[in-house]
Amino acid sequence: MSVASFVPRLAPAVACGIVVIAGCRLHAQGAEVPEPVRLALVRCADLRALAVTWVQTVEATPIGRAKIAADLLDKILGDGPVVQQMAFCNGRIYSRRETQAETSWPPRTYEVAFDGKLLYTAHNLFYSGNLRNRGPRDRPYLHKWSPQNDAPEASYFPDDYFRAAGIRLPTRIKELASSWHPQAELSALLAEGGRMEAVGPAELEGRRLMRVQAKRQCAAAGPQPSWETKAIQYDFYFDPEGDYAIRRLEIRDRAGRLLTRSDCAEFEQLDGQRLQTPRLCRVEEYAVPRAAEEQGSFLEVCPSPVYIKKIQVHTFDVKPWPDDRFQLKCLAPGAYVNDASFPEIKGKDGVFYQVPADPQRLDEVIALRRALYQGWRSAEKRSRPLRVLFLVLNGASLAGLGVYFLVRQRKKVRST
Amino acid sequence: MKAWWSQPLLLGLFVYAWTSSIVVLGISFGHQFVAPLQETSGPSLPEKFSAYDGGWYKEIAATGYHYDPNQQSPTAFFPLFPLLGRGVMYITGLGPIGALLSVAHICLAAAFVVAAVYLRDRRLPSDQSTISLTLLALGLMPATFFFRMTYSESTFLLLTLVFLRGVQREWSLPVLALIAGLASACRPVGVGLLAPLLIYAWRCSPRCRTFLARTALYAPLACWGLFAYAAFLYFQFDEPLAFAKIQVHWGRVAPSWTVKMLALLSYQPIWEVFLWQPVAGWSVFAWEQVNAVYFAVSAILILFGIWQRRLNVYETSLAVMLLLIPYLTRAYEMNMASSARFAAVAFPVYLIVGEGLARLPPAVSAAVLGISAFFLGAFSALFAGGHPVF
Repeated sequence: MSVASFVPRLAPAVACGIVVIAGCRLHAQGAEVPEPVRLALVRCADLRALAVTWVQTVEATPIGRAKIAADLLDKILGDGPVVQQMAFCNGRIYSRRETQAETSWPPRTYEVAFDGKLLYTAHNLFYSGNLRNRGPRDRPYLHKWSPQNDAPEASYFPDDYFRAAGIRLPTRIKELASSWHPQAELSALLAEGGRMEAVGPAELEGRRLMRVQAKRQCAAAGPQPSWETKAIQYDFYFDPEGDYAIRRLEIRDRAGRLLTRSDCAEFEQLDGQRLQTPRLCRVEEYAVPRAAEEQGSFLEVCPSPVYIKKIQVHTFDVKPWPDDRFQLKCLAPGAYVNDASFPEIKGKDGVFYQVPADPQRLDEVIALRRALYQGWRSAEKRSRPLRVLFLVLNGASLAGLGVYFLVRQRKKVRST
Repeated sequence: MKAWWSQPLLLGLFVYAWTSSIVVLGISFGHQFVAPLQETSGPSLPEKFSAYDGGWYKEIAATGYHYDPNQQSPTAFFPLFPLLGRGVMYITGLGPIGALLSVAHICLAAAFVVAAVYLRDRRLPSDQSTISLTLLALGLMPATFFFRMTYSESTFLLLTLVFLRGVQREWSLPVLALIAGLASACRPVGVGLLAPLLIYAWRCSPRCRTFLARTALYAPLACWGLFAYAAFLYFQFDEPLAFAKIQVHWGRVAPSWTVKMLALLSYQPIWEVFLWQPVAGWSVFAWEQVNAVYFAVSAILILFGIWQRRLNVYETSLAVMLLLIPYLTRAYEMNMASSARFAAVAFPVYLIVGEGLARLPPAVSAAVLGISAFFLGAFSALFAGGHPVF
């Protein structure tokens, strides 16, 4: 391998390392990030490609069952164990969830992908929201749209494993658009203006660990406190005997109340990397969520967990995926497609069509639906003068009718 | 001896059978020859009778109701038709499609017979050619193919005809209110029968106070089906208005009441569909355009009938309600989708068409009905072919 080809490959890793290290020094006001921890953080930022497949289960505790609204609890618990996969490579990202409910239906899959330009979501069952829909209408569904037409704060990638392991994947829309790389959670906090509070020894289940405490920069609190504004203090427990991998991560609110505790175990060194990643994670949630539609906000914090997520990793794959695996396609006849990738579309919803039985007619179907969409959009503008005209005509005819009846009534009165 | 076609029973059944055969042929033609755009493995022939909303009725008959406020749910569909289907399934052992088709066709055949009887006594002396042409119009107008599918329209048509016959024969108010109530369990527009019922009560009442007392008693009775369904929804899903609230998942949501009212007053839902495509894209087979035209023509025919005094006050009020309710409640949201089907149950429209055809030279009437029969068959074939005809 020539030096010329080697340098560009290393450059992003070196740049990331410099940014992270510089960031740590800049913001670590209360304490310094210890050197071995800093190296562990750099190793995390060096991760260029990774695909993880895990099984996730969620269990509610008795206190959670008592405190969380039933419909929300149903949503949190889902339909049982979820097989989840998440992969990233070269700024592209992919996620897949598969659920097997206790019915005769096939497993339900939900995929999200970003190929560097477009976002994709796909369900294998269009009416998958409710398994009681027993009709034969179910078909695959694909939605694609440009991140430019989406809310900057929106996020579609379920990254529970990475969060539990203390790895921050930039999954928000505004983050996807910028140059993309994973970061250690601690690096991300410091880069966002957070500060180091304390570094000291700690012991966990007879194991000597290094506890690093950091505080995030406070965002302005709204009328309903959200996770972002409440979660403020992070306690990372690094394992010196395990290449400073994170054994435990605790997140507390302003008052010091525990919101989340993640415990990781069964660490494994990734092929060709010095990074240790856990195969088992247990995440205890202590905050009672408010409502399904208000994600991130919560009602109260309990002294014991309200629900517990258990994550068991099946496989790690560090081989970079080909680019086309980050593009979702759906060519099954009958599949529904909501395609908002065309330049004329401003928004998340676009041209809606069904894939025809004959694949050669796909372009014809798309052209037809696109023309209809354009016609529909332009109809809104063209309809304004027509609407005024018809309103005037309607008013005039109603007035004419009124006059006619009045005159007729008068004539009747006169004749009598 | 009277000719067989002057006997309402035979005439009604004959017209039903003859016009329905066109639909059945159209469906089988569509099943075999109309290339579906999106179907993978084509459904069986009986399933072709159960597309779109027919699928919902099939689901209700087979597995009952469920409700999810976040997505389309069967609670939008009123219970009488699937309930009858369930009854037929229980008695005969037929599957849901077979049972619902049996109900739809029995109701349609009965509707033709009741219509023939109603027409016979409507004008005295009765004009046989007008009766026959009205029945033919009822059987051959293109949107009437829905009467032969697993849709609730034929059941509703039968109930409105029985109601009109009751008014014609001066049945007692409680009986008419019960029939109207049954219609309100069949389709949401069933509450439209309240208007002719109240007019009937007014005419039957010697004093204003009697009318008010009867209204207080019989108006709720005339909505018993709707109330019973709301009670069921309340006990089953804790949401008595689930049938109305779930409608947000069909069509667009109006940004505000003002926008919607301005659109309705300017007839925007009717003409807007033609702006979606250039003139070259307009077609007599484009169902979204047919919906708008069909509805508009039906409304014009009713206005013409009122102006020419060809409809009595009960027929007028019934027709106005059956056209006005869907127009005010769903035309904007659904861009007139399904409005041809909604207009098809307004029986007074066929009275105007029938009388109009009777005034035309026989050859012209035959040509008009022939064209109508062609479109009836064509739309049936497109429906069976999975094209968006709903």
